[in-house]
Amino acid sequence: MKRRKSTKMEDVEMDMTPMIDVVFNLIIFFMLVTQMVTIERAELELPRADNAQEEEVEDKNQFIVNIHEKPDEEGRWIETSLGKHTWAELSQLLYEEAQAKFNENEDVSDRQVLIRADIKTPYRMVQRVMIECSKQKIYKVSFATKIQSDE
Amino acid sequence: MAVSRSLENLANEQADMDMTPMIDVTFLLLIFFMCTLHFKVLEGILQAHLPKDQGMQNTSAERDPEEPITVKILQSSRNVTVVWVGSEQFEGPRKYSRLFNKIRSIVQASPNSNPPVVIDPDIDVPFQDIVSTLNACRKVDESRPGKKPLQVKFAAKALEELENE
Repeated sequence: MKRRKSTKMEDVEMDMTPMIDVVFNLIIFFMLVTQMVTIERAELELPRADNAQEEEVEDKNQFIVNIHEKPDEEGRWIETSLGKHTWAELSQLLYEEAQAKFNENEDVSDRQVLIRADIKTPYRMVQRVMIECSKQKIYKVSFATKIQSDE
Repeated sequence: MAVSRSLENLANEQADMDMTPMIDVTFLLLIFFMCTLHFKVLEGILQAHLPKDQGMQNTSAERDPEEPITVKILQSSRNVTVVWVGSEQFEGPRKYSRLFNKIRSIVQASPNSNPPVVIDPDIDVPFQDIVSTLNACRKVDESRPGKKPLQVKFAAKALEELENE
């Protein structure tokens, strides 16, 4: 009599352990993903271009430079995965990037910089980034755009 | 008897922890992270090239065999963007589709039908107009499948001037 009662109780109570495992894994996954996405790509209003190529999945050869619409309080326009930068810092970063690629014996023409600029960023700033790129012998640039969708 | 059974129950309940609050909290966290996560929206990219030999374009060995199409993008005093190709001026809301037609007709008329496009924007032009111009070039590529894509470059002169500022 007593034994039957206990099995009945176990049946009623679900085993929560696997579910908690899964949920925790999901939480950790989302936490990491949210951080990684925000690191490389600043929040900008990208310009529209309906004929742009669709981006391929993560190009490792690519260095991302974000240019904001306005400078911050300290006059910095540029943001990369390492934070906000002054022009001198950007120059240094691109130099390091170019050097790293050079050491890996990669083809120079493979070097590429992805410029993500805001819709209202004046060309002056984009130009300055391009000058820094060409100084480091990076001649390929691409611009991130918003693909117009169902509007 | 009744008392002893309730005591037994109590002992049972204490043995396994009550998971409900923890699950509530974890689910809330999960939902929070899912909502705040902006899914990585795939972005479009437009390729362009920078001039390789600043200031030495005429002496360069790999000078382009064809006359480049120079697209000037200027900002007028009323913050209106005007696009110039040669002596032709494009203005107004439909300027980029007209620019596309113009570039396409030049490309079709040129001998190898692959002249480079040189973009020469004014320093105050908003970024959208540069992208729209690049987009027009890309549209030309799409309108003639099988052909080599147009080489889009930025004007070297403009890059140099700024450096001397």
